[in-house]
Amino acid sequence: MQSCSNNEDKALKPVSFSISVKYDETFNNQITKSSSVTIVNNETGNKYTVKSDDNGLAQFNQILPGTYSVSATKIMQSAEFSDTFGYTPTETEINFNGSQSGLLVNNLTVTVNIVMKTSKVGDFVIKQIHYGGSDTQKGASIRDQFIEIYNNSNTVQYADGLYIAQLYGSYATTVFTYTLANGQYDWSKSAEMTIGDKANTDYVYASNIFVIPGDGTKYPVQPGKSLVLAQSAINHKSNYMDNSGKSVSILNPELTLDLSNADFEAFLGTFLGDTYQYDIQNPAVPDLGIAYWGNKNKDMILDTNGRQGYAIIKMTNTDFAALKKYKNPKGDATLYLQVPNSAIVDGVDTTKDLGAGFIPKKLATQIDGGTTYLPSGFFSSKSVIRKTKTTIAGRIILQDTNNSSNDFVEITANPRGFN
Amino acid sequence: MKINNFKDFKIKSNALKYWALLLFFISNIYLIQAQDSIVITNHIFDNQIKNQIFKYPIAYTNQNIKDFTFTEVSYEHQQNEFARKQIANEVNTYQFLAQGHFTTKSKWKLFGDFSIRKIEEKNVGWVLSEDRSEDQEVIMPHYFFVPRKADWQNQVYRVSGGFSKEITNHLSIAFKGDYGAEKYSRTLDPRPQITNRKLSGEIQIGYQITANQKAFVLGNYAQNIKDYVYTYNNKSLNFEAYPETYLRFNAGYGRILNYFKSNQEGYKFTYEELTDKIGLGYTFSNKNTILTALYYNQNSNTIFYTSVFNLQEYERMKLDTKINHAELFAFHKWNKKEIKSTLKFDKSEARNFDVKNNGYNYKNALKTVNWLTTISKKTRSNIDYLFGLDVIYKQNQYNDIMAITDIEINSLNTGIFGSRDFAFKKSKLNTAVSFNMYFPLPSSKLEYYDTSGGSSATFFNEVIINDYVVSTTNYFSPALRLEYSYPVKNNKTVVFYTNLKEKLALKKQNDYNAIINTNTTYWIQCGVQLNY
Repeated sequence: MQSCSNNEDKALKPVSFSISVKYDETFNNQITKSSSVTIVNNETGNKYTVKSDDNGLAQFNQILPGTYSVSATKIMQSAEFSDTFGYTPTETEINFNGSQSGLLVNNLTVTVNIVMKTSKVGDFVIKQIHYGGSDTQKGASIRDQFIEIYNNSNTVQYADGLYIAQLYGSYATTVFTYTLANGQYDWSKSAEMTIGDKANTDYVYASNIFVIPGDGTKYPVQPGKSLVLAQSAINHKSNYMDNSGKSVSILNPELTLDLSNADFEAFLGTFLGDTYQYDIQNPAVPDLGIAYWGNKNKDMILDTNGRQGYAIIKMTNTDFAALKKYKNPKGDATLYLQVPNSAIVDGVDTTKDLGAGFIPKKLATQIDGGTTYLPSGFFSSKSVIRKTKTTIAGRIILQDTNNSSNDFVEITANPRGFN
Repeated sequence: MKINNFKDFKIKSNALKYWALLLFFISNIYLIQAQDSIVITNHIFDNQIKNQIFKYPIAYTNQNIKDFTFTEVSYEHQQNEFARKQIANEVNTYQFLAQGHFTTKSKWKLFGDFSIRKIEEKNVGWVLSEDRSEDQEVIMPHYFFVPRKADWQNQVYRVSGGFSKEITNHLSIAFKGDYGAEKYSRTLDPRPQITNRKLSGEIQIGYQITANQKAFVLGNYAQNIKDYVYTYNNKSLNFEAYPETYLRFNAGYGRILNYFKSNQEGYKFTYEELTDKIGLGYTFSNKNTILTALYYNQNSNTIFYTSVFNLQEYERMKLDTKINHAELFAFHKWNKKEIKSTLKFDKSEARNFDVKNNGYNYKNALKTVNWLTTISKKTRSNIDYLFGLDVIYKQNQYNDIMAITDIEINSLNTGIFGSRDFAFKKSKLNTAVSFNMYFPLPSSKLEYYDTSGGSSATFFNEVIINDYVVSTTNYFSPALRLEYSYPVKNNKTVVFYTNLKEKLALKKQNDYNAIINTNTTYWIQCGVQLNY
C-alpha cells in the first residue's frame, strides 16, 4: 500500500477490533464459544490471546496496527460436542481450528471472521522434526536430520504404506501476480490447472515423498511408540568415511546424534543412480521407499530455514499413482505432486520465524491451524517436538489440537524423546 | 599519535580531488592584503565569527577579512562513563583539518575546509546505525539494533568550499558546496557496513540597501544517500533465541520490530535524505560593528527503502523534519576591545511516517535557545582577557505513538569561560578555562505504556530509562585548554594545543531507581596546527 500524503499528518493509534469465530457449514455456521484466538504481529512478533465470548466474539483492545496472523483453536470434549451439536461424536475429544494470514489491522478494521473446521485427529502424528541440523563445522550440519512419527492412539497401528511428504510453497510473504494475498502461491494459476480455487483450498503440493515399505502388517507401531526416519541412519557422533572415501570428523559429538538405531533411512543412491557423498547406507536399517522425487536434492534434505511443511499421507497405491504434477504458478521447471487434503493424516507447517522470515502457510486450517519454528534457528541442534499432553497407564499421549503453534515446542533434538 | 593511520582509509571518495582543485585555484591567484577589519585567529572563541563567515558569506562580501589558513592534526580520546547507552565506552579520533579564507585582488572571497577523521569506537551497543546519543537525547528512528556491544571503525571525509563576490554596487552573490563521504563498519556480528554520500549546494544573494545595510536570501538543497548492508559471519546468531545478537529494527522509539526483510537478495537497504532550505536575512555593518539577523526554514525527508533501489514501491518509513531557525549575531569593537554575541533559536518538529500502516508512529518537538557572548581585550594578537557566557535552554518532547513512550526533557545548560595569553619573548601561551553546569528542569517527565503484549520491554528497561535518568541528572563539566604558539618562518605559526574536559554527574533529578554509571566521563585532545 502506498502512502497517501494526507495521512502523513495522521497519528497511528492502537486499534480495538473483534474476531468473530464460527464453525463451518458442516456445523451450520454456529458461533464458537470459548475458543482461544491468538493474533501474532508479523513485524514485532507480539502475540495476544483472547477467548471468544458467548457470542463467538474475541475482543482485542489496544492492538498496534500492522499485519497479523490469526489462529483460533477450540478443543471440545464429547459432552460439550453433544450439547452444542445435538449428537454424540465418535471421538472423546474434537479439535476445531481456524486461521488467517496477512490480516491488516488498522483503524478500518472492525470485525474479522474466522471459520473453524475440524478433521479427524490422526492415529499417527508427526512427533518431532529435526530440520535445523547441527553446527556445520563442529557437528553434523544437515546430515543428522530426521522426522519422527508417533502412534498417538490406544491401538496398534501399521505404518506400512504411509507416505511422508515434504511440502513446498512460497518462501516469502511478498505478494506477486502469481500469489495469494498472504504471499502463498496461487496454484490455480499454475499451467494446466483446471480446478480453480480448489487448487489452493483442497490440496497441498509436495516436492518429495517417501513411503514406508511393507505389505500392510510388517511394521506395527505400538501405542505410544514411534518411528524415526533418518536422512542417514548412522552414528553421527563418531568419525566415519563418506562415500567418496573422505574422512568426516566430528569435532563436538555433543552437538549431534546417534541415528544408527533409526527405524528407516532415506537412501537415494539406488533411485537416482548417483550416490551423494554423505548418503551413507546402513544395511541394518531399512530404506524408505521413494514415492515421488520432484526436486534435484540427492537425499532427504529438510530445509534448515523451516520453509517446508510436512505431512503424513494415507492413500492406496492406485490413488497415489493417479496424483497429478504441476509447476508452481511462477512457472519454474520443477514439478510438484498435488496431494488432496483429505488424504492427510497429520500435517505441520514450519516457518523461519514469525517476523521478517515468516513463511506463508501451506496446510489448510483444519490440518494445521498454526505454524511452528526453531527460535534457535538453523544448525542449532534443536528440533521442534509435539508437546506431551498426558500419560495414561504409562502411555504418553501427545497434544494434537491440529495447531502446531500450540502443539509444538523447541527442544534439543532427541529421537524418541519427549519434551 | 600515529597519524600515518590515515593511509588506511578505504572510502572511494572524490573529496581529495575537489580539495586539490580548490587549493590549485587558490594558489594561482594573487592575494591581496587590504586594510583588514576582521581578523580571525585559531582561538576557539573566534569560532563564533568564523562560523558566521563560513555559513553566511553573503553578509561579509564588503568586509575586509584577513586571509587565514589553519592546518592541524589532532588526536582525541574520550572515555564515556556517565553517558547514554547508544554511544561507545571509549572513542579515539584521529583528525586532519585544514581551513582557510582568502580574498583575491579582484575581491573574490574564497573559503573552504577539508577534514579527514578516523574514529575508533569501542563497545557500542543498542545501535547499528551511525547515530550516537551523545548530543541527542533520543536518536532518530529508522535504525537497526542489537544489545550486543562491539567495536566500530569509522572514516569520515568532508570537503566544503565556496566563494562570495559583490557583482555590482547593490548585488552580491555567494555560493557554498559541501561533499562528504563516510564509512562506518562494526567488527562483530552483526556487521553493518554503512556508506554515506552527502552533497549539498547553497546559494546566497544579497542586495545592498545602503552603504551599511544589506538584505539577503539563501536557498540550499542537499542530498544524502546511505547504503546499509549488514552481514553475519555466524548467521545462526540472528535468531530470537539469541537476544543479544538477534537483529531488530526500531521504527519509533522503544518500539521493537523484527527487522524488515530486504526486497533484494541479501541484506541491503537504502536511506535517502533530501533537504531543502530557504531563508532571508539582514545585516548592518560598518568599520566597527556587524549586526546580522536571519531566519531560515528547512525541510528534510529521510526515506527508508527495503531495497537497494530507491523506488516508491520500496518505501517503508519516512522521517519528515521541519526546522525553523532564527539567529542574531552582533560584533562590535572599540579601542582594543571586542564583543561578540550570538542568539539562536531553533524549533524542530519531526514525524516518522509508517508507509505500510499509513500513519505516523513517532514524533518529536525540539526547541532550543542558545545565547553565546564573549567580551575580550586584545593587544595586537595577544588576548589580554576574554570572558564569556554560554546558555542553552532546551525544551524537548519525544513521543513514540505506538510504544507508548512520552518523554519530555527540559534543561538549562550554563557555561562561563575565560581566557588569557601569556606572552614570552617570541612565543605565547594561551590558557582557557570553562565551567558548565547542566540542570534538568522539574517539568521533565517519562511516561510509558506497554503495548507489546508483554513480549519485550528490554529496550525500555535498558535504554530508555537509563538515558532518561542520565538526561535528568545534574552534571558539572569543567574544561581546560592550553595552547602554545611559536612563530616560525614566513609569518607562519606553529601551535601545540591540548584540551581537557570532564563531565561529573551530580544530583539525580528523577524518581527512577535505575542504577546508572556516574563515574566521570572525560575527554582529552591534543594537536598541532600550522597557521598563517
